[in-house]
Amino acid sequence: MWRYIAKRVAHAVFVMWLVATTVFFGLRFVPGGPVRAMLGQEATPEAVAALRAELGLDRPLPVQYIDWMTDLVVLDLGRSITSSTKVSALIAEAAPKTLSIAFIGVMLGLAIAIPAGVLGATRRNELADYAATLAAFVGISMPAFFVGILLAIVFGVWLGWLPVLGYVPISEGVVPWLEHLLLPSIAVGLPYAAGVTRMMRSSLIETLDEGYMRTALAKGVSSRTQLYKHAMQNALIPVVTIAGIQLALVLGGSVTVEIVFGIQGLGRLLVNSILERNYPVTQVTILLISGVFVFMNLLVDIVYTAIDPRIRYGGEAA
Amino acid sequence: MTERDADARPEADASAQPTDHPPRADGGTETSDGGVADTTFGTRRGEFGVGEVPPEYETESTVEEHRSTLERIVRTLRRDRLALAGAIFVLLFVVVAVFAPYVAPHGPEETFGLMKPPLSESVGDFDGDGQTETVTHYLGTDSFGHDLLTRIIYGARVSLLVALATVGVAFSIGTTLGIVAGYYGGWIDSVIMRYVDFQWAFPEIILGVGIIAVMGGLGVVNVVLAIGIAFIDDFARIIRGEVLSIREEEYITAARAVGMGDLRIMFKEMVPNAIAPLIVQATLMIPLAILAEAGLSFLGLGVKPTTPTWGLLISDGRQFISRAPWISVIPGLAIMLVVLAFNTLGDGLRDAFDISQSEVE
Amino acid sequence: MATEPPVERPNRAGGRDPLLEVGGLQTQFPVERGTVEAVATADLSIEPGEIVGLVGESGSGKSVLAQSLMGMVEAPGEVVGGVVALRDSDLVREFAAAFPDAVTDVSEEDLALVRADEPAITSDAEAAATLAGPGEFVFVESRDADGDPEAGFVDVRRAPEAALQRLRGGRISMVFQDPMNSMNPTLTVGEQIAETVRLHQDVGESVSLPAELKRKIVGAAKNGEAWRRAIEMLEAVEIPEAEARADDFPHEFSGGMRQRAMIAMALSCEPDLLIADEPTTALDVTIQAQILDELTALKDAFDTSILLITHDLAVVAETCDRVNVMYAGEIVERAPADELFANPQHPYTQGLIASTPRVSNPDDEIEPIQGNVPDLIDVPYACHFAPRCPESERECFEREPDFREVGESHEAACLRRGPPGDRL
Repeated sequence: MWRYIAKRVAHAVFVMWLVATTVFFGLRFVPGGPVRAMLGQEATPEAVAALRAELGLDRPLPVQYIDWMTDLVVLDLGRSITSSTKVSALIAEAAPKTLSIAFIGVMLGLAIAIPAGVLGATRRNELADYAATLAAFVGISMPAFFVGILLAIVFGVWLGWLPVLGYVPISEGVVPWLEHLLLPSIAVGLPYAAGVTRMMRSSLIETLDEGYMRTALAKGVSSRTQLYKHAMQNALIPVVTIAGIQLALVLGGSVTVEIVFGIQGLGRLLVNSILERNYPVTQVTILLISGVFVFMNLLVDIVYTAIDPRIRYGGEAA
Repeated sequence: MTERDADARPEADASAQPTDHPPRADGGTETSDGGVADTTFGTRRGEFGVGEVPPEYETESTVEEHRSTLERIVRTLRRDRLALAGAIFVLLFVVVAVFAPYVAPHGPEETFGLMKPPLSESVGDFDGDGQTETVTHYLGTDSFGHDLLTRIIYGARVSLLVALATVGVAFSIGTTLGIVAGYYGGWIDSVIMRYVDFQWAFPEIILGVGIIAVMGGLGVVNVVLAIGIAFIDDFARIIRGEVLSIREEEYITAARAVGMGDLRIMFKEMVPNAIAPLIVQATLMIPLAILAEAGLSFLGLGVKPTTPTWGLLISDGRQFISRAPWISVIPGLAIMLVVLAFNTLGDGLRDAFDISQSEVE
Repeated sequence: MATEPPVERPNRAGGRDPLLEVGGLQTQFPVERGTVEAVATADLSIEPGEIVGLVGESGSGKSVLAQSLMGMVEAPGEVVGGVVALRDSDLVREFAAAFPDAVTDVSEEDLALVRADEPAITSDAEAAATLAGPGEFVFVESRDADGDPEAGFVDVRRAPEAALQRLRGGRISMVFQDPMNSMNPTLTVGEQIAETVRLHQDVGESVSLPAELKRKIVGAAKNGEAWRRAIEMLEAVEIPEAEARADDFPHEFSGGMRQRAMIAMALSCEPDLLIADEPTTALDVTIQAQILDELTALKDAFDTSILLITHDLAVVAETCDRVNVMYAGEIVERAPADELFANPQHPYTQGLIASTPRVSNPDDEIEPIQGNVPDLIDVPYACHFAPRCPESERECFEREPDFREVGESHEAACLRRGPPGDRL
């Protein structure tokens, strides 16, 4: 098991290195060079040279690369071009908002998806199944930001139950914090739930068809015990994979949904930095979001060891 | 029943007369002595031999194998109502997108009263002929006074164009990478698959945003490249799997034996054989591309802000959700319906080709 | 077969009451194009301590027949008729106490009346079953002085789910073909056996869902009676270091070991009947022989009867006392094993034997039966084998074949067999 975890950690580190390298070279291949792109075509050569020096772009590429990597490791993320605020400060301001939305969204999504998927699989072709399947189908067909707008219209504008704008830090109280996050979280959680529900349903149906479920039936195991003791854990294995991959949807969704709700999170930061060609901010934001995704999937890999004994006691799963 | 009938039919037809099959010399003797019957099987001793059936008992054979790809698609649409509904809606979407100028009631840049609700009317001289007309806005107008129905119809164009071009980019690059990886194996495979793994570990919209950032500047081409590149891994994965499973098949060995070149084998023999999962994947990628384009446009990182797209319409309406909720809601519903239609169609096709959900998606 | 004249039943040989008596069993699957008659009025009997073979090609319905015996036909399939009588006086007493509303007393006189009314019914169980009221499935034939049931049977076909759960694994258990897929990959081998013990034997361990889930998460009690019994069973099937291996997960076992563990699980509650559905088909030839030997030995040790389902005639010849040959949902021939191989009568059996390579004469010409088992959707012709039979006459397509005596305790359902006067 430890070998497996070590392997996954190594893989995650490798992917992060690759991401950092890609971002580094990617931004240096911006057509016309990043400084020109930032300052515009009319900038004076002096201004260009000054900015190049400030960004360290005048040094040889390998030196820049090593600098970039060491800066990353010690979390020295540079300064924003437009406000000369430290990028780390901007991130520290924005990240909790986006990550809160994503986290609550995932929790809500799983809390909806797993029971819904089980219901669909165990009441196959009954009304509950059709309802869950249809809802999931509609759910995967809606962009999170559109769900957010619908929620804002219904619960914010029409019913007036929840605020539709802004963010309150958790330090000012859990209830206001939750109130501001609930609608955005539901907005990212529902499309996520839709995907996971579909997987849960089909995986459980497949599991219920397995030979060992027939064995359990032939042993005289009651149907509830069959479902929860014999089927559930096996059915969850592929669900965990999808739940991990679909976190991309949640992160992407959070970035758009926070704009719907006027929350100044990573999404706003990323979009503004791109539009302002504020490359130091852009690269760190992209790196951070990818890092969160890679880290979450590392957690998913570790969850595997808990639910799949073939990994726990062997190398890789079959 | 199928195979038996397929085997049996010609023989049964050929031997309508029992005399066509004279009893063999070593068997067929009626055991009138009441003793144990001859145990040699296969020796004809009755009116109807092996594989022969009295004509009135012949049954319709239903041969299910050897269906062409097209036949299977048609069959699926016949059986699966939901997939059929999806297909019809997709067709409608394509027709509307292609013939937008003929279908749309107004020009995309024509302006009327601002934020008119659905089914309301604008009164004024809009065509500049000096006479006052009354124009009905079935879906209302947006915050600039554009007729929403018109904008949505033109937006369908952008969605379809971007989706097709995106899937085209992803398909061609992804398929090439996957087929090369699967066909050659070894270090080529390792390098390509490492890359695919890496890309897989990237949220697609973030990858798209990153590519936009690198390319700097907005526009359809940038959007297509950004989303297209972000989708490469899905195609590469699928085709590689298919190639690995058919690489050792006899017809590939045969092709090699007759001296077919690698390229020809790859594209003449392998791609056609992997076409079914690729079609399904493409059908399921189109809605994802539409969603991604809408997302980028919504963020203001997509096509130019004046272009009519669904994502921009939603983004534009966002500020007016209390005064004019339709501006956001109606284009959102348009996205949802089109994506839903592609999804039902793709799901139906996946079932038709019997592809597991884990393989494609 | 409903119009079959009463004949002396060779399968009632020895005069002992059979352990299992299956009469007129009919299992159907509705499909788009009609109804698949997977098992069409099958009769079968198994004596205590016997190994009975059920042979046929794949698709002949033998697995569905086996599932029907345990009330575990998969939906939308359904057992629509017949009786599956399990005779065991302990069982009848237990069930009479547990399901008092489901008990019905049948007297010899009642049975005589039924037989007089319907001459087609020949078995006691089938006759008794016609007397069952709604919900009744425990048949008491005689009671002792205290009024407790003494003899009788339980009709598995009519048993409700609660009763079936007690029967499955406890009284009738099953070993499946694919040992790779028959064990749950997320439960230890020991736990899978111990679970069966807990379910059917009074070892004082709760089998409620919370208790089972707790066991799953925290781990099973290793000092419990059920776990001890699981280790004993693994020893009985000759798993080395059983105590340590009980903690292994199935993927750490080889195919042969898994099948042994499955047998251990199936026998752990000393069932009356073990149904082995192609138990050795997925295994290496050398392991096949070992497993079959063990099965035979364990049958005596655990006092169990075995229904061995296979397509492999060699397995049948080696292991079984009596054999039933099944074709396209119908049993077409039955005989003691030696008799069947010495003197096969039904054309299908003859074809089956002719198509099997023999180790002793590898040069013999092997002649496969041409064609395949028909799909069983509303088969239009009477004898299902007629289209593939070299001897078929028009009447074979038109008239249901009845069983004819063709040897010592040997009968075949073929119009062209039997006493000369009856023969087509």
